[in-house]
Amino acid sequence: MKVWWGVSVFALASFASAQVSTPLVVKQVAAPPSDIETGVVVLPDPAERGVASRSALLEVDLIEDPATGRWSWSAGVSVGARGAQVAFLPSIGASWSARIVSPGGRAADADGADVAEGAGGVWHDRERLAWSGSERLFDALAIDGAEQGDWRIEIESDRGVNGFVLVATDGEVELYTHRDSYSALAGEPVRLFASFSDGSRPRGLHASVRAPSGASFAVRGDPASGLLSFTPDEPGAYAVRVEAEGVDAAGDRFVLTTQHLVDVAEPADPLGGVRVDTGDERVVFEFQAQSGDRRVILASEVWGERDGAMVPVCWLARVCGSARSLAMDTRWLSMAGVDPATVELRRTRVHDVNSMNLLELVERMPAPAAGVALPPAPDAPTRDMLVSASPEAVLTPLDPGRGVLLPPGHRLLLVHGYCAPGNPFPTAHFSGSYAAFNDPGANRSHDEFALEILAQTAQMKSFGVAAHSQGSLASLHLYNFYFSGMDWARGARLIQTVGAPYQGTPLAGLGAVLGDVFGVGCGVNPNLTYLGAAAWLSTIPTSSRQNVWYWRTTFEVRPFVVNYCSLITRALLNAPEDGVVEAAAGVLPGATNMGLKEGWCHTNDMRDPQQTRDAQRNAQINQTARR
Amino acid sequence: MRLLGAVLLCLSASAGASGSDACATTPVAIPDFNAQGVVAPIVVDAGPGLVVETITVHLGITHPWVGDLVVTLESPSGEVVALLDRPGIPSTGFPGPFGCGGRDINAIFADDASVAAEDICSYAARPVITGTVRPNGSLSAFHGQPASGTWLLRLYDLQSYDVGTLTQACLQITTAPACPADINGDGKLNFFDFAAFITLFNAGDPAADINGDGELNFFDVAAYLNLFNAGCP
Repeated sequence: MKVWWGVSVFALASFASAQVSTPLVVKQVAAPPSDIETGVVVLPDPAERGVASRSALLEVDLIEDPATGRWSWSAGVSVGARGAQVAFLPSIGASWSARIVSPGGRAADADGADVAEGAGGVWHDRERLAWSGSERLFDALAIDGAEQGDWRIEIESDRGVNGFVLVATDGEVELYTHRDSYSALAGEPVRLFASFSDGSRPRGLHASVRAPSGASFAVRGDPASGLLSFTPDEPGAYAVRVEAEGVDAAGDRFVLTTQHLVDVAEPADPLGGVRVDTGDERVVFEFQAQSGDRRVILASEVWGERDGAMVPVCWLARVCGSARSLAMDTRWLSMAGVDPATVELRRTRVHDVNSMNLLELVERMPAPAAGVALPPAPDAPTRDMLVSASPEAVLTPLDPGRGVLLPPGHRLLLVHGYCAPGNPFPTAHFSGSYAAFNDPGANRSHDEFALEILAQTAQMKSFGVAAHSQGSLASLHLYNFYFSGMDWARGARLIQTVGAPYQGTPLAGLGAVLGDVFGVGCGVNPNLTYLGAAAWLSTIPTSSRQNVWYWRTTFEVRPFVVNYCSLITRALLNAPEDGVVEAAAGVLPGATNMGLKEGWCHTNDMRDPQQTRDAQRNAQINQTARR
Repeated sequence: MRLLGAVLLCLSASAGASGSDACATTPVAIPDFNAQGVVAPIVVDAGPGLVVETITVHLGITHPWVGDLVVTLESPSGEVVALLDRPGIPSTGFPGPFGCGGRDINAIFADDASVAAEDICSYAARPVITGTVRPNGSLSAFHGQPASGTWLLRLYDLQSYDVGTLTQACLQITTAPACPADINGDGKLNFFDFAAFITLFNAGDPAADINGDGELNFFDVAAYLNLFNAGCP
């Protein structure tokens, strides 16, 4: 007998040698033509995945008055009927003395000490910055619009402590900035385009860029075209703050900013054409090997000719290592009714497995599979057409021998999110077999996160997931690309999620920019930007998404008060939002939408309770979960 | 037919075993995560002097995780063949480190099957191991061994959290005389066997086609005499 002593021993023994890398046979994923036709597995236009802003993250550069030795900075804020928010973000805590002054001369200190008696219509909060990983508290003020006109922000200090002030005026004009490509490679230009929602051109346009080395430089934009461009010379995360100056209909000057995280990669080895290997049951499309062990996600559409017209056959994707290939079940050809000799690959793309940076895109490659024996066509795609084993194993950083090893069995896995201190779900809300994933304070790509889940569940025969925030995306990534206990879980719902930024969040860009000032503890995560999320989502076919049930939440709307989860992030997010994730960006097309519930916020330091603590919803999750 | 006096102990070759199969008494609970396992005896009474010519095993097991299971068959002579050995293990991807997580077995284990029981795992099929499947070891190891006696089907569940039951275990054995020249099957080789052969030969009975060439002639007589002269073990 092979494994007398039980598989847990096998698993430990097997993984014990995996300190450096573990070979895994990964999933060869396929999707039907409908996923191509509906755009589920197609990269959307990057121009549609830009960042919109009615706020300005203003750099505060205090100026010393030689006469007094005091340092100061001030700026005007035009407040309309919809009010404004101001957040004070000094690089060193308690170093600023700040206040806002109304057009009528009333003042409110940033620390809120005199807000109640002095301002009337000004609200104060002191909060942590969501997702920063920092325990620091920041002052934020909201002006409700009762007193309209030109307000002033005044900051003083006895030291030259710089930082940022985040100002949102909820004005009519919106700044929109977007990249023109999913690709950002060292030595090649990165382009951003800026425009105002009213069609007016910026009067002034520039960007502040911080390179991975820490060096900062300015980029002057072209107001006429809205173009800002720079050429990164090293791989890594670039934090970009775009600042556009305009004039509104009333002739008043305004400044708006957007924040971007641009993850720059080294180019990959080119795919170099395709070699077609036809077998009895599947066709393998082989490309030039990648030097080293760099892992990528390789995806391609397969097309063929039927009745004189090219039609989609299927879509293929998988994680690849040095060997890059895609395998297609020949039944896809039968179902599409195409001539195998006319097969071609379209929109073949290579993404960095971690950043989802687009490393290469080949629009069309002839890949004739002439001579392949076509089996009978099934009525509908079978599970083994959608998921099969990859042609070769991939070396991964999976390491179950290190760190947390959760208990065995069939379980519901509670998965926390990005930069979380631990499991956010009250365990009292769950019964039966469950376990809490534990990776506190971590910042991982979806792929790294997924492999960490795989590592921690190495003893579980099967598991379903209840996940929060990025944990949701990582769980879906795991299910989509790797074999795991999730494949064998039984019950109703495989992946149930709360507050998941399936389509990204602008806080990813904010974190990148602010990290420069006070060191964002958990680091930057390109998967969580709008653009990164779009690239990732385009590799998740409907058959995987259908295994997700997702809930979204937003703050409670109370009358006669300024409503928010986080007064700071409210300035950056389109309501309804939960303090981190906008409801619109929390939608996962193809999955089951369980609704948007008021009165719950993303993290436990926001105004309403943390969304993971909803006992009613958790009871439902517990009852319906696959295990 | 090359060998005289072949006996078909079980005629059924379908997934539904016939009443003529030699079967274990079921159900039998398989102890979970237990290296001692459980034994299901199968008594075969094929008569004296008959040995196994072919053998298949019809196995029915309800179990939510067949990757836990090891099943062996031991002949009355003590020969052991593994029918199933934790299907799906080892694995570096599909189906995962715990082997095939599919449910239930209802299959005939036969050497000539085109698919191995170890490789038949899928997410959707239930029972996951079904049809005619190739055992992990080769049942041909039993060929030539006495058919009669108590066969021992041993079942082990080597991983926790999932419990199963043996619901059916039947042997389908075709036999042949241990001594082919012993035409009348009385266990003795003597004049009466020769007389029985001549009777068959004269009657044109195909059983007298000793060399299996489809004709009854001198060469069959010569072949029988060679067998007779070789004696019996």
